[in-house]
Amino acid sequence: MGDNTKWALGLGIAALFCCGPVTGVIGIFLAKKDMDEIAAGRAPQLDESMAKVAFYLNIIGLALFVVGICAYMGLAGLRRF
Amino acid sequence: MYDRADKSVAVGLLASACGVLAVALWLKPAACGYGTHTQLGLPPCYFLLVTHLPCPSCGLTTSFAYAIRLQFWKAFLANPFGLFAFFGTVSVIPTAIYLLWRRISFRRITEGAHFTKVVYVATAFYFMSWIFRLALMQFASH
Repeated sequence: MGDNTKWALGLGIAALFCCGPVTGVIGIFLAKKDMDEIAAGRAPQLDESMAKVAFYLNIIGLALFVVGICAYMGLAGLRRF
Repeated sequence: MYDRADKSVAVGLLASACGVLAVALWLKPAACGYGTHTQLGLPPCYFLLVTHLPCPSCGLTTSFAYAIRLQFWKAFLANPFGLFAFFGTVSVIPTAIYLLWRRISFRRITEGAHFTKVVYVATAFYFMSWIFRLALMQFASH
């Protein structure tokens, strides 16, 4: 597993619990970097499945953050009526 | 090869940076150092509600709102990473204009050898500034 993937996994977990937007974006960037390296054949030693896990984990973290905000704003809007 | 997508990325970066700075100028910084983003109708930080401790991102909006008013010390105290991110956002404006003018792709920056190192340093600083704020809170409570 590459260093970028390890960091991306950690940041993905952080994105799920508290800091979605910041760590999510950085985690996506790092995981994508490893995925591109593997796809281009420059880093065959890296684990593609783990890089993908890290990539999607960060996307889920970001998506949950956006859904949470939309739900909050939707409920706040409903309460006004 | 410079194409339309590269131009869109540069325009998007320029518009985003200007938008973020305009919102920061419009917001009134919260005196307690966090929660400025609630003026936008966004929810309060759930990490803070549950643990009574600020999350690493708490104070970022406040830090931007202080920094745009040139109150850099208050911005630093609200969130040291926020001040760093503010200068990063400001630097995006001339960078994006330069990229558009010289027809250079943003990928040339992100694929550069040093960009990943900058990302690592920024991430480390993000968490270090959180530890600094937790320590500051602990110090203030005694």
